[in-house]
Amino acid sequence: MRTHTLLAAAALAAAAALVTSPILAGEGPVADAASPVVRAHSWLPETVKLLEELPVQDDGRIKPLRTVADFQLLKIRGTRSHRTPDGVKVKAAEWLLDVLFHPEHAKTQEVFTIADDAVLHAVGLGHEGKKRRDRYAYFELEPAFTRIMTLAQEYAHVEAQNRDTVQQGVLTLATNMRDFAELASFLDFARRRYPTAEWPERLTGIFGGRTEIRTSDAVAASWQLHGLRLVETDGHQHGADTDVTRALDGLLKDLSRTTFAANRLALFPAPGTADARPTWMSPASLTEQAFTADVPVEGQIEMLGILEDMTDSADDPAAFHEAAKRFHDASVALATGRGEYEKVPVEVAYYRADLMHWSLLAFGLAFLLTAWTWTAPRLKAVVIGSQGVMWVALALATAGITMRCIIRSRPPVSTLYETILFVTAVGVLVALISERIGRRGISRSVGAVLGFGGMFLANRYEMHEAKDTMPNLVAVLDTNFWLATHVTTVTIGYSAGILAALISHVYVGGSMFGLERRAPQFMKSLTRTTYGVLCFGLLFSVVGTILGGIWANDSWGRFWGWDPKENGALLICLWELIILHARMGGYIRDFGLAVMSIIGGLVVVFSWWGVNLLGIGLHSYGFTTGVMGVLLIVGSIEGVVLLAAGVHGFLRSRAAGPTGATPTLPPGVPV
Amino acid sequence: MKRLLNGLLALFSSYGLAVTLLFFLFVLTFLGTWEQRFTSLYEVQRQFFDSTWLVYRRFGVPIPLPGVYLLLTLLSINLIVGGIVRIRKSSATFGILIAHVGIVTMLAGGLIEYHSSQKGHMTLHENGQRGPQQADEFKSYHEWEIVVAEIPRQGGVIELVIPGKQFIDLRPEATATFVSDELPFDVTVSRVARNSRVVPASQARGGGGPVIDGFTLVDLPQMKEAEQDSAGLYVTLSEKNGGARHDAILWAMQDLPWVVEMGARTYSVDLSRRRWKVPFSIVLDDFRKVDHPGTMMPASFESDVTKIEGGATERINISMNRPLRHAGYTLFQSGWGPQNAAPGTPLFSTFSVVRNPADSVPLWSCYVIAAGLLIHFVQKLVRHIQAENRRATA
Repeated sequence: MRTHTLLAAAALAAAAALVTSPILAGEGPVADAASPVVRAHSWLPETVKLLEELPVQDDGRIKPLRTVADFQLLKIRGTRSHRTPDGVKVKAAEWLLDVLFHPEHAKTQEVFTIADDAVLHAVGLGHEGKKRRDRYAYFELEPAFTRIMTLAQEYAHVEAQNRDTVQQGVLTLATNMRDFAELASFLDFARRRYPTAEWPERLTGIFGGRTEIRTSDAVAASWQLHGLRLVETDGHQHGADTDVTRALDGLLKDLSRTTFAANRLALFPAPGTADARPTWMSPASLTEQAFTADVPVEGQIEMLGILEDMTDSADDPAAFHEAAKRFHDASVALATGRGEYEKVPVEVAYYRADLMHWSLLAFGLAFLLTAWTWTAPRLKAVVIGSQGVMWVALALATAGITMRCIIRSRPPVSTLYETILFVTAVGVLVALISERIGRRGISRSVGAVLGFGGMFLANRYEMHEAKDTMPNLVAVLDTNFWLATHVTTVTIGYSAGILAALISHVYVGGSMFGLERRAPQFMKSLTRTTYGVLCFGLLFSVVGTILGGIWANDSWGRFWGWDPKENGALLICLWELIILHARMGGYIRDFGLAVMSIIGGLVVVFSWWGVNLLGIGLHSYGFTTGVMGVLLIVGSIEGVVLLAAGVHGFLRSRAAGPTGATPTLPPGVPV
Repeated sequence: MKRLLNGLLALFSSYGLAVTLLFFLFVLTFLGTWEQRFTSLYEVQRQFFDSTWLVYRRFGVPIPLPGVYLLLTLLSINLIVGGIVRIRKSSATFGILIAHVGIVTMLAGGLIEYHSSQKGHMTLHENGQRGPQQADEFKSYHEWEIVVAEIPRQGGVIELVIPGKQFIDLRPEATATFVSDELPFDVTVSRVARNSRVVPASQARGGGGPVIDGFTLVDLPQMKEAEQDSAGLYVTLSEKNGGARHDAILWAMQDLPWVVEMGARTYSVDLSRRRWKVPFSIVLDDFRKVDHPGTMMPASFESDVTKIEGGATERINISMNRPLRHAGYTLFQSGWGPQNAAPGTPLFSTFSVVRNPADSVPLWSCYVIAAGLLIHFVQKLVRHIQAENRRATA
């Protein structure tokens, strides 16, 4: 945690340097604070489509530019698109193109979400006419840039759990402004021209006597410049002070200063093979490479020139498209040669298809149809329809999970986000199979709730984290065998525990409405289903937990280390064993089984999410912030349910008398 | 007597005992997880999981609880008596029976591991400039020992070891004396501290123990990570037959042992982590940390080592999830450093070393448990489907 805060402080300090960018320093077109500039241009759809598929190396993996744009806008604004004041929808990729190629206009777009106006108070900005939570344009925040960065550096040293909302808000705003500034100044080098009028002839001669050159011209001539310097200094690095060396040094300093900010996007595949040179280059590192490297980078320098062409033609859609296509084709050719491109179109297709969103909507529809069947159970068409829509929703989610496996060449679960998808899909599948067996509509209803709730949670989690959901993994997790066995089985165990808890809610509710007396067969069926799901869950939880121990034995040299995440998995196993043994021993009956299964659901939630919040243990890579509130809400609701169940159970046992006349299965006979 | 035996048999085979034990295991596992927020995993393990009983204090209220060691012992008995011996043997309970056998096997493996495994680490340095590049022993993470060695003039070393268990838990005011016929003196230790620091007496601010050669030992709170503790103690060598006394402070962070001359004989006394020999040597040839491209996130850690055994050498690569298993010992890639080393700086690589006779038991018991639970689940599912079909056709 300490390292993180110091890194954050260092990053914010670096951000302060970005204000020297001509655009960000206000040397470009400046917006009138009173009237935000309406976006005066638009990108050709085919250009946007083309650039969405552009491969980039970001956070250590090759991904499409679309993914970078989506998550960047999600982080700053909380959505994947925004609307201009005149109602035009701007997709994330279009917004990113605005920021890169028209930063002066991007500064006027209200994309910065401020969750609490107290943050603006803290940095000394006014917010008249705005709501408490509202959106702001960069130019509105820019006057407080220095103050924001200074405060953020101070707050970065406060441990995350000790920060108040304003401190956290300032930090978030600072990192968002830093990101924006990095992107907005990324192409400063491409806008830059170097006049040659005052250079000596021997230097201008290298550039064919042109009156001005571009950055790519200087980078392409790196070896000639180097050679000229050696000749001028007669082989000595220092000591010669001539017109040529002075001009040369000035050019190199300018070049270094101009390309300094061009580090955010690694757009250029490295020369050679991916194994030998895995790290792609940004314009800054390409410039450095050109002057120092031992391998040719002509292809990449040519791309640098195309990037300048794109910048020059940013106001001419047709010319921009032509340049963008040249850049795209050159990039794809280099990436394909390194075997790094084939997954990029799949990832673009995954995000374009938006399968998880459609799955969420389909589960919502399935839930509505299922609710309809509660009031009209004889409407066969609705019953079949609800079941059909659920299968469609499940198919969409499964297709999405499969595409993610293909993109990352990994088993279905390797991040917390993926656990939500997988738990949901498996839970719905088990519910549908159970419905196929029982045909009472219970599992279908519960499955619809689980499907909708799960996909909604996945959606909210992705929005909240606003980070690539297919990241690289830390070294210990980078093993497909254990991800496929231990992680998958444990997650199936979570799924079963949640499903059993949901079905048990139906039982407890039914019991409160007297269904044990009025519909005993229905209630028994609920118990049988719960019991079956618990057995299914126990199988996967126990096997998954032991497999986790075997993995730990292979990785860390011990089978069991009482680590919080290990203990969480053990708690699920122990609680399910308690339920089943208590049931077999006759200590609990149907109602008790339901109540204990609801508690089991809480145990699953603690193991799945809660232990990550403890901030301790070897599984700290599962740590996530901001879910404490959600867990408290879930815990409170379940607490109320359990309290109500307890009161109901007490009244029910009193009403039944000392002999216990409530219809239940005889003790010791498992259903 | 028979009634008593039957009563005990009924108790130990009962569902009630199983539920009670499982419930206490659940509670202790939860408390042990929660307490890790405040104290080290090692201490939590000692208090909750390796103990036969404990007193848990919350809000000043002492709550006596059984320890996990006791619970697992009772659960094993309950499983064997109730879940294997007395369980009704039929096709309906076949899966449960198999699963119980698997769990008992796993618990037995755990018992063997707990009592006979050796766990520690071996740290080797590239090119050997800043530490050993080769080793044939490993050190415990938590256990201590005092090593008394005689250094004969003709070479070689005769070592006597006092295991940490015999002194590390001494109360501050207590002393312990160790006697050996092979030594011309008795060894007395006192003021043992699990975590400590040696400071000049002038800086102790009244907090240290007796002053020896101007220094004193200051007791410190234990670290959150117990392996970072530096134990310390006072030691007195009392020559037999009423001879001279020699006092010293032993501290785990001392680079060199305390050396005492007694007449013509020279002895060294050292407090260090417990060590175990391995029947081969490991030489670190190269360590590599590879990050994901353009990031500081590690993609892999790996060490190229040479194993030397009986004159034969073998080049081996050890990396995350790919340990070296040999002669009953397993070496895992577990650490490296210095963390912020400049490029080209020689690095060190730390291997966790484990000798566990029950190493493969969890895997086999996992197969057995999985088979048992699968059989039971499929049986239940088939019955459930049949019951639902009967209902549908009725």
